[in-house]
Amino acid sequence: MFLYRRLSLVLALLFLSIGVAIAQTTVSGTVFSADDNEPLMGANILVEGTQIRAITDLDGNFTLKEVKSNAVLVVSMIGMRTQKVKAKNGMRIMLQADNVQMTEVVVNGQQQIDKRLFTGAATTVDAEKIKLSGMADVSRSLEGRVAGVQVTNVTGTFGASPKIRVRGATSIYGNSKPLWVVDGVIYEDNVDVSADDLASGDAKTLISSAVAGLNSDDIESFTILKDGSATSIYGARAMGGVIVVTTKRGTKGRASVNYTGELTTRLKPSYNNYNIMNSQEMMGVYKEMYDKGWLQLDNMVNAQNTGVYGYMFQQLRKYDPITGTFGLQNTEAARNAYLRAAEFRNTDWFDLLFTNSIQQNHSLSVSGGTDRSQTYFSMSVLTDPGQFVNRSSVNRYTFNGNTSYDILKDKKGCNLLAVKLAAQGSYRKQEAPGSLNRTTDVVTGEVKRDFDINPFSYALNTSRCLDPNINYTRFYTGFNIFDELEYNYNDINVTELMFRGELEYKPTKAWRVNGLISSRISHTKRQHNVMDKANQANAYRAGVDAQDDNSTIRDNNSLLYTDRDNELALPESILPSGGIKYQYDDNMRSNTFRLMAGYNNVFNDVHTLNGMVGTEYSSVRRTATTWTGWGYQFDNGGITYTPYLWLKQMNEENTEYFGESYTLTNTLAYYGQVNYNYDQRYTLNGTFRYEGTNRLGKSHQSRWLPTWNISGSYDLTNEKFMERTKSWLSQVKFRGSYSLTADTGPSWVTNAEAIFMTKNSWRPFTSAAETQIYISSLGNSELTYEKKHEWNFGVDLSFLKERIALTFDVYGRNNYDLIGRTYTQGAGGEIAKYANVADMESHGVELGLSTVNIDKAGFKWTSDFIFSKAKNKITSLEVASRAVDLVTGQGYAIEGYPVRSIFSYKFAGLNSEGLPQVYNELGHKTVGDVNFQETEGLDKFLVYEGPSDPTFYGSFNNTLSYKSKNWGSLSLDLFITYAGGNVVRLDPVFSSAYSDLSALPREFKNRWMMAGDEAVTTIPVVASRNQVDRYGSYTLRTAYNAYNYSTERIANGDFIRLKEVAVTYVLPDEWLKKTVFINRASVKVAATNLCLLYADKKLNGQDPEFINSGGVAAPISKQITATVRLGF
Amino acid sequence: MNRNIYSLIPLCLLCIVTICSCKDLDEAPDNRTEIDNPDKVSKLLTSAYPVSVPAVVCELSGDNLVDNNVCVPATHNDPYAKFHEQAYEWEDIDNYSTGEDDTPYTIWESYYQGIAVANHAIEAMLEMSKDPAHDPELAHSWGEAHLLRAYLHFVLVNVFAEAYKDETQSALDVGIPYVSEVEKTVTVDYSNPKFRKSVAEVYRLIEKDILEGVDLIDDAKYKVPAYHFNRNAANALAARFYLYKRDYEKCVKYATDALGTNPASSLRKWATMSSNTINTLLNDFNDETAPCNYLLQATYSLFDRMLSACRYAINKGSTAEKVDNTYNILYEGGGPNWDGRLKAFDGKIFVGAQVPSTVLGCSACMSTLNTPTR
Repeated sequence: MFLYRRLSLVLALLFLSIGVAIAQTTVSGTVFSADDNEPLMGANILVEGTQIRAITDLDGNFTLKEVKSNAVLVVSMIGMRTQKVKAKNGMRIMLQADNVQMTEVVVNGQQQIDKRLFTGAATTVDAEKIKLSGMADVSRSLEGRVAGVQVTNVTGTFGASPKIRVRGATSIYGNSKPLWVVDGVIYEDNVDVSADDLASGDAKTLISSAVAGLNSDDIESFTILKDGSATSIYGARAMGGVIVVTTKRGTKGRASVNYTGELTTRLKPSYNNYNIMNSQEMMGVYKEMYDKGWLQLDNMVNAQNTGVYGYMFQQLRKYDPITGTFGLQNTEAARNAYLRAAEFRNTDWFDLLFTNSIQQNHSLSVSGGTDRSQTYFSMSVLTDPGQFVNRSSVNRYTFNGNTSYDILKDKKGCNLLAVKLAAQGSYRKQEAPGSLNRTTDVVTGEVKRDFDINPFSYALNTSRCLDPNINYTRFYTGFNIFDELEYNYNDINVTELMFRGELEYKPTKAWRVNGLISSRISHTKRQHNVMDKANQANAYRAGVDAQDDNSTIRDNNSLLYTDRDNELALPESILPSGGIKYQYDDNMRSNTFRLMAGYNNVFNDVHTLNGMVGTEYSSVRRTATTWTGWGYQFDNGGITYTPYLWLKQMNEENTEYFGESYTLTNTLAYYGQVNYNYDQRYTLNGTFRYEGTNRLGKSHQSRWLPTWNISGSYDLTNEKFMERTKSWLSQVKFRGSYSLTADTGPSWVTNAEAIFMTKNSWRPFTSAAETQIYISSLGNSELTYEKKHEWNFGVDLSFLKERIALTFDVYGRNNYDLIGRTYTQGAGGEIAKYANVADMESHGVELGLSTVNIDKAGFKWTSDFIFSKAKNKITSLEVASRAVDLVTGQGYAIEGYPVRSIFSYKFAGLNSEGLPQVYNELGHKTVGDVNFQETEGLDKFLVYEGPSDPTFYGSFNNTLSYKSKNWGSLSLDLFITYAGGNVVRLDPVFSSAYSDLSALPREFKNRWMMAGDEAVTTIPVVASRNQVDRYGSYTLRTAYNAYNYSTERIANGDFIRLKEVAVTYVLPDEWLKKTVFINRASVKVAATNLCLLYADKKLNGQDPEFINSGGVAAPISKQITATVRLGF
Repeated sequence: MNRNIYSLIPLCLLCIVTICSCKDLDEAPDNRTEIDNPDKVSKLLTSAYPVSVPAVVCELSGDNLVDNNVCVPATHNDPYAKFHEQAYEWEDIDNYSTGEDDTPYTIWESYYQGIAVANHAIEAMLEMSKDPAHDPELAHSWGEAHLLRAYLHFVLVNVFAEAYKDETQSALDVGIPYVSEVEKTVTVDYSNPKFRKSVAEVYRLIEKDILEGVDLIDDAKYKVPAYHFNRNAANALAARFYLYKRDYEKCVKYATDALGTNPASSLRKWATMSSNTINTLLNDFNDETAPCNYLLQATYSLFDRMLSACRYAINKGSTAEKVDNTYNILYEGGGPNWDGRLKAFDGKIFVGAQVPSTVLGCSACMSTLNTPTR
């Protein structure tokens, strides 16, 4: 009996074991989240060593067929730690939560998409890895970090946005700016500044950056959406790409406090990097000018702008009755002594105008959470006394907080209703040198800015013979740069606030409903204060001031006013006392309301289907107000005295001294997306969006716009035939997409119906004044969006167990219906009109390669190489620009060439008198017979130099680190950026008349001096007064300007820059354990913008990225930063 | 069942959002205005008077000027030499840049722009009232708009087409497009016979517009009557039109209406003007209250530069002399001496004569005339 029972038991066991060993069974089970026992949908189960896969369904269940016994299952899911378990039928698997890895998801601002299902071209970067030390504006840190994203720092002043292009330009006259989305909310620019204006140096650029109020420590990651598949969700404004910023969130069950402190010091620029004459060489040129009839007493003593010589002549006439002597004795010995002192003075303007002040940036953040709510809150303070000796300080205060709370859970413990709230705000107070807007004289080609006191531009352009403590003459009255910086400045205040609320409701496991409301307000107040003692204010009194009565100046000073109604009137001052206060207010209010329903389900373990449908309404209102406070007595307690003559002049010139205007953009959109994936190998995605705006007027025809995208991907890695290669080739995925996206085009084209505006009629007398309504633009019922078809093909590869990761994308774009100018017959009232008549095409490639070169025994060396190429061409544009537009600045648009191309006049050598010659529009060799206004056949007589935007760009980054348990970890980062393929116009320094105020480059040493020199040199002569009389001053000015814009004055824009070198030391945990409360500590020292490893020699120190346009522009400085990070 | 209901909620909310937001798309995107009341119509018509005038090309093509062939060496890009020569020689005028003052491009565009404004006003008035000609608030604007359209086409057809010969011959001469519709698309083909008529037909349409508007003018409704088509200006236009058309009876009728019972009081007081300084002379000439100024038009023009180049002048005589390589300017404007006083040539003052009587009021002109001699 007993034996029988034992035998049957043995036999039963034998049978079972055999069955288990040989048979292939079906394994099914359920996956749960360890935190809250929720079943998890979308988790991946893979039988290790095979291609047998399944995905969990709505209830967390999965079924695998033909599984060998003893098989090991690999269970993985986004946001969870991967587990390996033995296969067992009916098993329950608990997954532990883990941080979502950046590489696993793509954030598009509205949802997180599993990277495996993503079919578009997008790149995500960790904010901490790319942060540039000492740069408080987060947009600058994207430079070189993402393939396809080109960031050009046209100016380094805080608040000014760099020029950012994703895959190049997408419009000829429009913006091509990418869209900033922060946590699902679109961050609009405070003011609409076009890409051409970003480089202008006008004070408006200081409020052009939409993200200047964000603290870089609050940011978790950036995701850049590049092709149509990602941007179809955002519709019209996303034609230039989308940059999605995700801020930090609190984490469950862990509270932490983090402090980051940054101290930055900047290096002063030095004359060693520029090629400017020293005072001795400069004096040599002055002596030549003196011999040629310039710098003589008769034309200097009452001249508008004078320096060394002018001051000398003024001192000769200045009699001091007390001492009974003149300022300078009129003897040859005294004059020579004065000039000799100037010759050896060699003032170092960079040293005097720049400082090594220290910028501080402190931020503190608190984050924590329970399993029902998570919170993150941070504040930061930035104080920067400025890199100039005065008037460049920046103080910024930010706060940022977000919290999420699970309100309801159902019986099973699944989330039913969750709410998220967030608020973000910043206040910035900034000073900048006083500046007026830049103007171009289209007849002579001169670009100038009145009363410019930009310290960098002053240091570069001012003669080193001048004494920094003396008042020289500008605009007929005393001028000293240090005093002027004190009395003439811009005061900027920017306040921004953002509120956001989100509600998420999950009625069923598959469905979820999401609602979002957000509001963003920004107030900018800019005051340009021209105080009583400022040169700009005194210029309005020069010649008529009681102490300074001078009839010659009085008759020449264009700022004085002569009363037209009185035929015997003499010029009078319209600002007899006090100064001027210009005020500009720019306010913006942006509201968004969004409602979305999403569906997510898995069928039969292999089919994944998700989709969403949504609607969005947004309204952006911008108001701009300007006021001119004329006659404000800064030194007299702020009393105002406005002389009536000023008002009279305003009326007669038809200028307004105050005004308010607004723009309003309302957008309503419906969108949907469907995504289907089969067996984690094939994915198909479709997006559709239908949007309408009020911008194109009341016409219903052109108001609505459909955009769409189809894309797919094929993941080879999960194919059966890839099993053998898994050891060295761990991922191969092909992606492809095709889309139609569109944009409303340049913001000043909104004439679906005729636009009527009001203005004052031009009348010679105020008694005849009338207001009129005029047609600003005829109606165009055919006005429509600018459109773009884009195809993108990409491949993601991963070798050697992810030690080598490669991403490659190639794309082509066809932009059509772009706004361009066309000539009509004109009998309708407008001959040249803007309409959707232009076309453009572009294409490019993007390559990203990341390698882990060495990873052994705590020592690690990783490299990242990024290369992007972007080329574009205008294929159809009937009406080109004028010659002056193509040769100055950043170039302009012409059919058959890139969107912004720079052309040059063909240099024809110097003539026998040393004057510069070019070939003009008739093909003749000429000195000054040039028509800058020409619009026909431009590419026949102008020489094409190249595009003004780089055609290839990228970066190379190396990180070496050593980790040890006892000593902590030390790492070294070397980050190099490069760009090229474009051309840069050299600074226009040549002129028919030089003053004794300006500094000249050393190239002048090789100038034409005597007959015959034209065979050996191309630097033109210092023109003599006789030549100006013979040729005509207008002719010679044009000749020298044509030389400034000729083939002689152009350089390649290629450069390689050592962007950042940083050493970071992270303290070991063991040391920190001794201090009870510090959990993490690290110290970093970095040198940013160190030097240019390569740049075209012709630039002679001119930075290929920075546009030196004066005003408020400043180059990005070389700086050294020390950062301390503490975690508690 | 429950789950299906929950799934419908998002769709319901979507519909609600749609209904609320559609009308917001009609809001104006900036501070533009609409023509929706009579006051705005008359303000709109104020901008219909062109800011350009064909004085330069007409004067150069006429008999008054003589080519002295001596001038400062104006290089061909000087704005006042390139096309002046072509106008004087009766060649095709094309040697100028877009946007230059006084060129055929600018004349064409600014006169047709005025016509477009008149047509927009007429369209707006037809939307406000079924019979604007008899509507007490719109009648004067209706009249002004038609007179404007007539006057502007009249100038255009005389500048760009053949002069009127007679009914049969002018029916064979090609004229200009007569535009009475608002242009709403990017391009319209105006060479189509629907628009472009013969000279005779253009004159017929001009006459129709003049007769429609000349009786509706009301001076009291204008803020500054001298800058609009007031009664005198309207009658003067009709008189001039019939003069060109050689319908002398009607011409006399309208001329009499314009001059009134005491024509002497409407004449310019030359005798007292010629001894004043330049500034007062200008101010008096452009005075909008002077009874002699029927219609004033503020324009941008470089008329004075044509004379200051010294090449074309009223008389034949040396205006500049060449010494070595330098040109010394002897007289500016040919003949008269600019020493701060506009001394007349043989006692008569020359200021450019144009098709209708207009006054040049450009700032460039005034400043040059204000500057004393070199």
